[in-house]
Amino acid sequence: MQMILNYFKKTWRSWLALIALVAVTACFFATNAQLYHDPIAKITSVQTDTTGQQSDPYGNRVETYKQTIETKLLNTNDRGKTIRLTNDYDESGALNVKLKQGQQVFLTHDSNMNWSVKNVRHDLLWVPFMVLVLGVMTILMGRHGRIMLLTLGLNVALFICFIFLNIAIPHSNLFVVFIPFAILTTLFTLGLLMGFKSRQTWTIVMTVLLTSAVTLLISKIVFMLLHNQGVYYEHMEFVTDNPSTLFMAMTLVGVLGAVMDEATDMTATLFSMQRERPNISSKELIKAGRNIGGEIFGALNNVLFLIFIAEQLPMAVLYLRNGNSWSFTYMTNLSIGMLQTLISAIGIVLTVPIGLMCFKLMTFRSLQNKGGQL
Amino acid sequence: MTVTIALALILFVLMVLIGGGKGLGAFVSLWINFFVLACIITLISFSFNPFWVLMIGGGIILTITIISTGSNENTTSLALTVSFIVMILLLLVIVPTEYLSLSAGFSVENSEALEGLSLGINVPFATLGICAALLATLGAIAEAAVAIAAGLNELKQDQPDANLSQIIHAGQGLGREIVGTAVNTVLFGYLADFLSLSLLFTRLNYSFAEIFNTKLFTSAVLSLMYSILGVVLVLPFTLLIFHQQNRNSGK
Repeated sequence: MQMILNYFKKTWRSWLALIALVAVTACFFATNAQLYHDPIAKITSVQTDTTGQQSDPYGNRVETYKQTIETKLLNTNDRGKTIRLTNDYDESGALNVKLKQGQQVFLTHDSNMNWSVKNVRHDLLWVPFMVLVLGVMTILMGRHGRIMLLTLGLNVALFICFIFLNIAIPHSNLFVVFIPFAILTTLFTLGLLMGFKSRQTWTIVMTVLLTSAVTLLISKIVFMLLHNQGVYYEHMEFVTDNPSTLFMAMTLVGVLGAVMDEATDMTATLFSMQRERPNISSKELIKAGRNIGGEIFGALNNVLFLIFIAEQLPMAVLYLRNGNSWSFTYMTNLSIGMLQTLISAIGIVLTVPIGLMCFKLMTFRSLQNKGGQL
Repeated sequence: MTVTIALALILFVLMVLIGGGKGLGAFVSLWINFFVLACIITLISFSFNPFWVLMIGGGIILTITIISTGSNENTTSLALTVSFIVMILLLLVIVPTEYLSLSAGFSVENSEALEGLSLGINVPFATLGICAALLATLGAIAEAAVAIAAGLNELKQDQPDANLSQIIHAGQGLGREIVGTAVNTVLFGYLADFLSLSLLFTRLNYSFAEIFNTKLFTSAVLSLMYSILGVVLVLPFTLLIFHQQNRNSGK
């Protein structure tokens, strides 16, 4: 208990500032409707009535409802005007939503000025929440937290730039466009975390880029040799480009973070071992590298596996509830995520030998340099 | 032979060659977790209480992931305790946030995938959204918990003479580095997931105001934030519980 008290005694100002910041952000987004072009209204009263039941041949039965809503426009020229409209929803809420008093919604109207709800306003919730989480991170991580915040922002900004770059270049190949993205983020992230001048940073950068390249090459060869058998590109969601380049680009981005994580852990340990015992044998270094690698493989694989697969859970449940078999549900919803997981896992494992090789290469040259100076 | 099986075989060979016994454990843990996730999906679709399925399934996934690292008993028990605490805390954050955000379910961008499906199913999508959001965070929580717990125990072994607050202080520095790289891993995982959607948004010429208010963008950002929060919360709880355990054993 004493430890917690001491901690808050030291940092209570930061926590107070964070709470104030979150409150200010929330207030700003609750009242900034005038900054938007699309009409936004606030729901002032809601009356909900049952309209019956809806059922399907698979044994699903849900209650359906109709809401009569009164709203007040918050922007556009008709600001302050009261608008009445209706909203239908059902218990499961797949594409519709139960509205509540006090919510802000985007409205749209047809040519007869019949208004309807287009979308619920989401940014007034997630922006303050994001501020809260990033604030907690920055405070708990101290000086390191600020660098983390900087790299997060920089990586997201780079990502957005490259998305626009891909649109700007006509007939661009998404995967090729994201190769410089991979190089730049790796450089910035590792450089900011460990300094651009240290040899350790460059060893890790080399490891990450080489590992990603080898991993994608291996998977490309497997895809080609087996003629994409069992790869269901047609079930990928939101495909606008060539699905196979999209898949490769996604896999490249996904594997980067995990490989950076493992390469950092392993290389940092190898460097510190060599610093402590300058004439340590290669055999011992290799053994240490394999040991550290082995400890993190499993956990890292599962990090990516859960991120890639868990988000498909609602769709998978929907498929099963529609009387589809498990194999069809797997094929349509989970197989692409599983492929991504497996390729990333191969990358994570390959980080160990490639990292050891890069370490050897970088330190071998430094030893030679030292020899030259003497 | 399908591509999935070929890649799985390559992975198996590489893991055993490079990681030995631990590599085998890592390989097996991936498939056990897949099986557990499949069970979770099946049970929820059979209308079992999603809350209990999620808690038990999530607990099993955390346990499998942590045990798969092959750490010693002290590290495993510390990491398990911390990751369970963080999972429950996150659930307490996720449930109200998901209910307020109304970002569960699908939106117009999904319509192609939804063709021919009956959407009125007995399980509310708000609940499914909560399950998906929590499950996605578990891997990152387990990874950070094991890494920090292992680091703390190593520090304790290396410096038997150091007092507890010195170890905690060193552990804090080490932990912050681990959390830093873990947050990075999570970020790139989500960016990869988000790539296709962001291309769709730009192709459809959505404005930023429109993108920021779509269900899909909102749920993606919220998921990323839950995962970051989970990873970040692991550090203070690990330090706290490590402190508690070692103070008691010292007496």
